[in-house]
Amino acid sequence: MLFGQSIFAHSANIGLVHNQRAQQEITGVVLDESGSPLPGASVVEKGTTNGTQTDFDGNFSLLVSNNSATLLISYVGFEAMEVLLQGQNTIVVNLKESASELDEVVVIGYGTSNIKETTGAVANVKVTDILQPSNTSVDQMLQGRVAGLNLSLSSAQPGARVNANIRADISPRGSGEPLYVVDGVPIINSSPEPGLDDSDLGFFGGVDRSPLSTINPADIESVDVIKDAGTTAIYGSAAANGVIFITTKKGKAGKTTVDYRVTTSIQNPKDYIEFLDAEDFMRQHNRLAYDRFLFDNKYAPYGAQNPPTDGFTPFFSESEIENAGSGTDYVNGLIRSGFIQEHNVSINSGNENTQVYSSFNYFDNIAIVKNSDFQRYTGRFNITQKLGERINLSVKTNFSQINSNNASTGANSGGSEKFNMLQAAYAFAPNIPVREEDGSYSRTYNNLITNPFAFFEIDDELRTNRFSITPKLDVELLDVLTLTIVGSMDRTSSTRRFFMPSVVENAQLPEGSAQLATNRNDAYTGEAYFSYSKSFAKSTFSAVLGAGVYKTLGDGFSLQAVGFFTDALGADNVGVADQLLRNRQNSFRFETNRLSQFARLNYAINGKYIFNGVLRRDGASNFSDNNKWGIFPGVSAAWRISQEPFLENTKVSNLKLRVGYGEVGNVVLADNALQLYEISGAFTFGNVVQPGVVLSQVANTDFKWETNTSIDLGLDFGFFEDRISGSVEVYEKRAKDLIDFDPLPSNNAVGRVVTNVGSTRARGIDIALNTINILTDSFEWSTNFTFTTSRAEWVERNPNVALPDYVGANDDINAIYGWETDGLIRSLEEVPNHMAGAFPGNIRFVDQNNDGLLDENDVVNLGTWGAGINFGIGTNFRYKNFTLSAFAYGNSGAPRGFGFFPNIFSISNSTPSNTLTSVKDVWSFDNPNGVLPGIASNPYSGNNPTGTTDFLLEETSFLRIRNINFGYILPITDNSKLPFRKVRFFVDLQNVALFTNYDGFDPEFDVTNPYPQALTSTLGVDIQF
Amino acid sequence: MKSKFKNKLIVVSFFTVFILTTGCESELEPEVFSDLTPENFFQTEKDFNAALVALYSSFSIDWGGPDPGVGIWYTNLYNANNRTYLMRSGLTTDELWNDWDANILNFTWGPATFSGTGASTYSRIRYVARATDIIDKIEKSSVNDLIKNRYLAEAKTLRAWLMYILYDFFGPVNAKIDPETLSDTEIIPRWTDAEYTAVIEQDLLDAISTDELPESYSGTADWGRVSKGLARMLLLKLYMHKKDWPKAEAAGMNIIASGAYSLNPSYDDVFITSSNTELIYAIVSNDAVPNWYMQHLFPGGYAQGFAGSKSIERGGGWYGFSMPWEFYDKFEDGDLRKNTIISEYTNSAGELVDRDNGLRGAIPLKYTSIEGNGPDYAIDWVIYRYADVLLSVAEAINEQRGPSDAYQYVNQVRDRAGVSGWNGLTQEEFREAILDERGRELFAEGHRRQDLIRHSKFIERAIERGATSASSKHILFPIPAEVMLEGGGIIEQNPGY
Repeated sequence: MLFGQSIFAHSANIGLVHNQRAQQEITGVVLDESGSPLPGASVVEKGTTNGTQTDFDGNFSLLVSNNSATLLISYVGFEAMEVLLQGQNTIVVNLKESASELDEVVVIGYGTSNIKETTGAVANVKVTDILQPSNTSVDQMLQGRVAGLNLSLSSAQPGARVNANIRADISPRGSGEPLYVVDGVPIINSSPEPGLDDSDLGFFGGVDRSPLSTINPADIESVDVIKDAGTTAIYGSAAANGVIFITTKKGKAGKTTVDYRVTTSIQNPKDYIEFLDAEDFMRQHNRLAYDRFLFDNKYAPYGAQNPPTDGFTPFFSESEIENAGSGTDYVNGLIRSGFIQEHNVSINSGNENTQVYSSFNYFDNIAIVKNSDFQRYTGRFNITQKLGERINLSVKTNFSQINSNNASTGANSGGSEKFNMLQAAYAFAPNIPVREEDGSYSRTYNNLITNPFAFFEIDDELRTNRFSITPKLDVELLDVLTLTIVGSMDRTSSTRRFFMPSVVENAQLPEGSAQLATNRNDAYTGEAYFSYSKSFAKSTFSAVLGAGVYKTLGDGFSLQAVGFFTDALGADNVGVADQLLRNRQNSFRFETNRLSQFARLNYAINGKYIFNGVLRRDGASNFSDNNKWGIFPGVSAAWRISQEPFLENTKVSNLKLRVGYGEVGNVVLADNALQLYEISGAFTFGNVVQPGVVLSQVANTDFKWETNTSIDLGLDFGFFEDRISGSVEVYEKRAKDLIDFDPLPSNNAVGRVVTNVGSTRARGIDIALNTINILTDSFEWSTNFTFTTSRAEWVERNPNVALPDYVGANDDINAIYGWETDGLIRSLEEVPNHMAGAFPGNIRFVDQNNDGLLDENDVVNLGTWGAGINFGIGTNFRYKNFTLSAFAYGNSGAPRGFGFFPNIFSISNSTPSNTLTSVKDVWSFDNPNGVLPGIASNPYSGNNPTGTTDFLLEETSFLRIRNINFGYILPITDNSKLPFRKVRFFVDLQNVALFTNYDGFDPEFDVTNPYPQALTSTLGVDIQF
Repeated sequence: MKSKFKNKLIVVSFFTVFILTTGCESELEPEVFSDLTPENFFQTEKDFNAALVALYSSFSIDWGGPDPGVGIWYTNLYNANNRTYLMRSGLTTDELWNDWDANILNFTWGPATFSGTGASTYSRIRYVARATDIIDKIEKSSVNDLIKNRYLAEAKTLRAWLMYILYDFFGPVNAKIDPETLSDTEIIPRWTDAEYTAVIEQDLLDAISTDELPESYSGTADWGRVSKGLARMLLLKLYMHKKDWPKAEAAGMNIIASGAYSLNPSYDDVFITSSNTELIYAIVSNDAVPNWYMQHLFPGGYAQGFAGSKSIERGGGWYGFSMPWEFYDKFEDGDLRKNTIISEYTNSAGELVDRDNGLRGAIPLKYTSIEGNGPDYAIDWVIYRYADVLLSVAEAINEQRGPSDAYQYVNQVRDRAGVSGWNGLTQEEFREAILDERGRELFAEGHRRQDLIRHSKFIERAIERGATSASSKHILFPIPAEVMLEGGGIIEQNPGY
């Protein structure tokens, strides 16, 4: 049976020797199983608040009421122990390392709790358990680890953001992202990295960067995910989507240790989407161009008349095709093997008064797509200093620098003439060699497309610096009362330097262009709170009361310079750019202030019945005048059934029922509710471009945050001494006062005004199951499993927005509406009556109501976007000194389209562009079994009010084996005489395999031009000195 | 002693928390840094100019952008995008062909075609409301009369122009012209034809009677601004549209009488020399806002062709717009206007491509001063010019009293084109001839749709081209689906949709 003494970080049940009426002095030493002293372990006389802490050598002395008292000895990460004194004055205690996660402390905001005593839906992840080399940020490692935490990588590019969502996103217009709190301080959940000005370039370039990529994952002790509003309400208006706490390591008293880890990884690109080679490209062009000729002139099969025999001359002659071979593979020319090198040094040292954790990390990824490399330096210095009997100071500082290139992948904004690197490689004709005879870059038939290899000449450097310092002062005012003062400054600045030399021969900017941009995000936090904790004979009472002030601000500027007579200067002297009309400069600034008060009460009776209440009041400058302050309450309770007598001495080691309710806010930033005049719409008089100003927004002084309420019911269980443990949670969360737009009449100057209207709901189940299957001295095997499912639907819609008939009032939030399809029309005879005038090769749409028309009355609900079920499975083995762990995740029931369709328009026109090999499946009269729609434009597509059909839409599922790690720990004993304490070699594989029924490229990246995936193989060694 | 210190500490710390809680309420006032607010806008003459510029921006040759009050991306009215007011006025007619938008080519469009981002032209109704707001704000302002009256005249002309464009495509709509109703959320029905056109007419008459508005900005640094000449031209267009021939004749004669405009001696130079005196209005184009029309014309393999004797060398383009051969054949031999059209070219492989071996239609280049591969060029886009005035006056005269008085106007245009003048036509013959003459003179300038509709040939010609779905409903485009949905029965759809 595990012992359940609570360990409140700021509780006062330690170090209280001086005013106890003492009768007996007990001395002792607390050691771990191997006999190493445990400094700072808690020793408490049972049933009292009388207790102390062990010193640097694990020694303690305590005056107890009598020599038959019982001592409770506990230490984080170890199983607590009860020692019945039975007259002994000196004791030696060996604590066993905790096998169960249940002893862990979890962060719940302004304090911690023992997970056994938490009343909320809290999951704790020890980062050492999931630490994977070759990942740039901790969020990339969390996929599938926590039931209810759904993550999706926005791109496979190094350092890319992971879109996180805790339990169903029910805010159609607001954010679905959780609040991240690092070492007690909320961070700005965006990276200020400047994008490119796309107005001339037509592409953005770069990646949506995770703000956590500036934090070295190896510095992180644990990640706590809080899912229920009953607990997160202490973060009030910021907590609608749950809170993720990230706690960095701190130094431990004891012998100084130095850990050094070095890893080398090779990234082998996985098969990418396939494009036509030269010969196939030419053949497919000829085939479809002829088909297009037939269609344009309405010859058979598109009309009655037969085509003239000499009307069409193929663009590529048969001999040209036969001699073409496979040509240049432009797409794979951008992709290469990647390498990652990482060095991590951390030093841990400390004594009773001072503990230091410091680290340095170097991470260098030569990425699999050229020009998207990622290099990072981080340094951390965390110090905890005792400033007297009752005052503790801790200062955590982090510095990081990320240097990256930014290959232009993803979407673009400028259409086909402004393709980015990957798009250009898709389109570039494979039969055209890379270079002209004179050595310059060749052009494809569409001469506006830049040669994909010419993008290598672009110099695009991004440097992001982040510095944060978080001092925290704990003052023990009374034995039961502590004042904590936390400050924080977190500053990120990012500078981009872009230079496209004239050798690139960009059609828009043939004489070269440069862009320079710098953005900055600052966050300042000040918080002070009192923590009170008192134990009574049968109960424990604790409370937190505090206030905070927060300021976030950002600013930036950027410029574009066009027309360089020389490439020699790069972006280092943009003053020489001579196309002044195309030069541009911009700047911006924003600032938000917030004030808060917060409180928590916690009352535990007999360690069985626990009540918890939280309250926060938030006021913010981005709240509108009539709603300056919001109040957010949360209550929760737990019943530890396993503490009841009837479960004593049973196989049930832990059983806890918990229930909670809370209200939290979802705030939209920016000044959505003010009347604004926007600088928009320029016009040229003479030769001068003048800026215009337009009324862009009308005021709504009643505008406020969305309110999320949630009801949670959870059951935590553990059997056979927690060999089997886990939790089952069900929840219902509702959002009301949804952020929405009321449409204004189409003849008004402004078309919409923000408002709070409508309501949504989600219900779901989260299940976590951990089992220790085998536990012997030489062999251990454990597994863990997470499962989550939810459904989000509308409860109330905006009554001012007319709903089309096909939309049900209570449909799923992400419902798909569109026309059903029934394959292709393959001849003029097959044209159905309701599609008169359609052509062979057109998709056949279903006339649902058989009224002979295709219109909005034929739109049906085609399903719901997003997966119905998400799951993760992990398993860990240890045999003697060998370890093996594997982790997989997946989802099921997500409708996905075909990925993307070959562009038959661009391959068949007079300036053909390359496209996907699936173009071979495009129907034409000479490819009668083709499954993809033919060249003929479908005259009915324009009548589809949603533009969506179920053509090739199917439910998909996948399982991705994310990670396999094999390790070996060198057997080192004290007499090995090696300078090491511990050496571990490991091999790690990332992104090992994917199993799916999806026909497209990758079910996790159903965007049109995804960053390619790689199998990353790592060899590494951990050495502890 | 120790406990005294402790008490003090507690007091101090509670005080600290209290300060944090209440000390800085003023910090919660919102501050806007990068946009303007009612507190700092609409104050100076330059503010009014910036507000006017926003009205002008609908006419920019730049592609377009998200409407700041809705967030939906719309194309501007006059650029080479095939969905603009300008191009749809040509692509629905016999003068230009394009197959990028099957619903337009085949006359199968419906309310959905003009919805969402397809509502680009209809969305200008919001700029009518913005113009009404600006007119009201200028009237109430204290800027000096010289500026005030000129800005008022500009704003009214722009409002009238926007309203006329909406009228041309959709018929009278429920545009807001009363500043008191600007923020009302009540749905109002569409104006009657007479009410609506009366507003346009009055705005233009107000502008024409404004002394501070110059007759023309030709050759000045303000080229691109609305002049009295443009107001007169729009009035002429309105009267022609309504077939109010006496008023049309008078409006045209006023432009002729103003003396500010004249025919350029050479047709191709009209489209070469910026702000020449034939131009009543053109949209300024430069490196910042280039002209993309030419890129839409050239076939992919294009290398060299001739516009008259002028060699036009450049790489291929998008081959989007072609002039059908049937239309090209309306030009007689020796018509100098044909010298702005390319009818055959040499491709990059050195082969000659013409109408017999794959050239789909003539290349209606019009702007023959292009140099280099482009893709875009800094060449102003001509919208209204004096030749149109002469042809319109001739047509208005013929409709009222037969051709005899009309020859002097039409023959000025024909003379310049190097073709013989007309005489001896019947009224009916003149009517048919002037429609073709307008086609030859004004092709690809965005007038053809109106001309065909005025002559009741718009549907007939479409059916002849193979758009068998065309019917009389297509004379107006449909009101966008979302506007109908919002209207809840108060806003009437155009007949037939």
